[in-house]
Amino acid sequence: MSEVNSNPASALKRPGRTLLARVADASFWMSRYMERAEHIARILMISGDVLTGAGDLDRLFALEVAGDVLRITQRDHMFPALATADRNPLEVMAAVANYMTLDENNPNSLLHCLAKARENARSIRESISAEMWEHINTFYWTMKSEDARRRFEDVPQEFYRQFMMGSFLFQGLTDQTMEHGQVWLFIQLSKYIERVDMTCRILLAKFATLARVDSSLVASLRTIQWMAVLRTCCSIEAYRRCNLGDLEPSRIANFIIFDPNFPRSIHFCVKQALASVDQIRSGLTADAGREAQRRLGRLFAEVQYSQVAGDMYESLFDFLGRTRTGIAEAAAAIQEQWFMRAIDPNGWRSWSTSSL
Amino acid sequence: MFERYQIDGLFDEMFERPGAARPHYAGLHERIRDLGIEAIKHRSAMADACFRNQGVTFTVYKDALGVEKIFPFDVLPRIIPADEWAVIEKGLVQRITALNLFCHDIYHQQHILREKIIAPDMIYNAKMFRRQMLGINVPRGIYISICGTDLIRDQNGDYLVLEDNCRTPSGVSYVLENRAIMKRIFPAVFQAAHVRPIEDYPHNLLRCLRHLAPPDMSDPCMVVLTPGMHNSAYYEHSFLARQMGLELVEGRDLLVDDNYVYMRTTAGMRRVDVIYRRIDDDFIDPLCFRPDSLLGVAGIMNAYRMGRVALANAVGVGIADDKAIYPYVSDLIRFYLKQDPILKSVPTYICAREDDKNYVLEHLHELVVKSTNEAGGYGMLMGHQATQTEREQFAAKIKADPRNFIAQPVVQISQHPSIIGNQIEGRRIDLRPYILCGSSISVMPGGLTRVALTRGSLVVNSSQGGGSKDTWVLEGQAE
Repeated sequence: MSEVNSNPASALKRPGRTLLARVADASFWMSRYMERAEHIARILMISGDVLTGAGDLDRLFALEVAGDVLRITQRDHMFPALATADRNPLEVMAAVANYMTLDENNPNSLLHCLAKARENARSIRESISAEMWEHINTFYWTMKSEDARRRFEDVPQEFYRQFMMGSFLFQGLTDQTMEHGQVWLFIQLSKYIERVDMTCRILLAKFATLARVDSSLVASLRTIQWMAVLRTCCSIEAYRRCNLGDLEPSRIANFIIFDPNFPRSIHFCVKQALASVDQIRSGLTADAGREAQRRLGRLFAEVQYSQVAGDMYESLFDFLGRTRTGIAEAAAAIQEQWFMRAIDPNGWRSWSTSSL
Repeated sequence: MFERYQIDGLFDEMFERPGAARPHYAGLHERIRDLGIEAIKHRSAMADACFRNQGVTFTVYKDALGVEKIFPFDVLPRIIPADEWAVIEKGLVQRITALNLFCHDIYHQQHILREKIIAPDMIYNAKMFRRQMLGINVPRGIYISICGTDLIRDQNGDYLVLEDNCRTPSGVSYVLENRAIMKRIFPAVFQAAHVRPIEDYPHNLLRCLRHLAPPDMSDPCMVVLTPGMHNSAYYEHSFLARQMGLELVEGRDLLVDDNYVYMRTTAGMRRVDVIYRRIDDDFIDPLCFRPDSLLGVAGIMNAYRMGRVALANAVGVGIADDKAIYPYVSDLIRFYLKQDPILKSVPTYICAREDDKNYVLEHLHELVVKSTNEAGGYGMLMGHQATQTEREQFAAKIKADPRNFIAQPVVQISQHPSIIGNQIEGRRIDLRPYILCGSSISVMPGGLTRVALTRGSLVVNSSQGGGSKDTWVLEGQAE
């Protein structure tokens, strides 16, 4: 217990409000699902747009674009069922979009992600701000309302935009209405981890697809396809401001991965995730989180000092693969050291006696 | 609006006789007529949207997970004049004082049994009697820190106690939310009425919990313990934790080591000193009570018995709100306080008594029969509305386990105007004020007015389709 306080200001502030491991866990997943929904909405939006606007594409290539959506979200086993022979590419895309948007049995559908985000938020609503909760709750009910399917089928692009705006508003409210303490840091941490993971997946899928057809595409289509990669990573405007001229695959990859100042780049996200872990650790006396810090630190060093060169595609795929593994290991370490370990009653004496 | 309003020989809160509002309702009556039904309905829709967006819900158990529902809100407030309230308040303070003394007595010297005021088998056969608490001293001797007592008004307008909820009374969050909404949608009406504020409740509750911590502890760690998100009252648990700035924990967040209770945090284990628990005794410790409970904390009873953690309310208080003990509360008040009870009770037949049981079985068609250990309107028979088969089934249950049943005559409880569709109709209401017992006893002015939204229904429970309204206790001259 703390000593009797003579300083009235600090007497009012409770010494070190602690954070329940379960609350940290739920805030982490709330934020992660929200970020995931935003990415999936954007992927669906851009893919649909590309297929609608690109004129007569080669059927196989068009199907690849639709298939990328499933590959990125790891639902590719659904592709044969959705891309039946009687469907033209646009219809296949519509089927994929439908599956990825409102299907509650799909663990990566937009609605499922939002439901999970809300469920986690609901379990910790006393730890987040009222504004955040009210937004996520209203957002959920709007997207789940009776006319949601009709609205989606009417104008899918508007539906995706609502999802993305819902996520942006959530981020803004998170920044402006809750204290930037531990819960906030866990929200940031998981947001950046999810963003790194999603960005890696998008780049892996898109670069693989485009590498196969790059030389055979006519110039205008080629530009549109590479623009779509940037748009899917929410990066096109920032890229244009930094790079004049043609869209070069290697410059695109370098920008999305290595740009130090753009909040969608892998460099930026890993740096922020690491900073969050550092800050969470500095607020705690216990030794937990060292492993997460080590893994993120190593990943950051790798991102800082790597380059995509030589055989561009080979070195890119190699780098993205390692980054995905690295970020997954960091996430596992966070889970294990902050959320799970505290639940093991035999393991706690050794590392937390200082706080007793 | 009120042209077709019917009083039907009941006690109507607003009208003395058709068209004539009681003096304390005169202002409101006039305002409602000025506003018109459309404006009122519009504001009512605003309130519903607010409740939904804020997630002010309760869960109805239909399937494994339950369904989140909004507590239907009726915007017409119930008004209680200052002089009426003063009597209620005194009566409630008297009641909780006696019930606390009763709990202490039952788990210690048992004077009440020695003096033969209550037969020992009434206590020892009660499901809520906790042998584990015998001889245990609870912090400050307070068993019931938080009590929600249900009051009804009979045909004469007399307030009667229907039951005491001494275990984990819920609903107070809706009282506070209803008030917040009313101030938002009817600011002028509210302001003109001079209503006593209730917003200090969470603060008082916190002080009440603080009172249970060891006096020399400068910064006790206090938490709210919830069964989890799927519990019917989860919203309230979260609300109270938020309002008091306390951590909301689940059983799995706590563990007991060396008879101290800890919560699992990202910084390791932190000791917990006071728990406002919203889990029933049965589920709180699988080592002590139901072994299949995953909601509680293994070993917490030992920590509690050793005085290393305080629980509010105390374990074993269920004995005080057992429906078969209810008819004795007036006797308890006379016995412990040497006072006459201020609030009346509903005449009650205790089926454990042979004579009473026979009477009940013969008069099932005019009685309300209640299971002594159930709440929320479950396990009861409204004799006058039930079918012959239902009555026969219930009679069989009573014969099989008479201790488990009590019966009361049907009280035609008072009605209050409610918005029903496009008009205003009378609906039955009750009142649950909340009483806090800490270093002193405080009663929240007002409480939860529940309303049976189905025409003619006497059952106001939210689990049975009831709604609620704001309760306005008017300011009066200080005494």
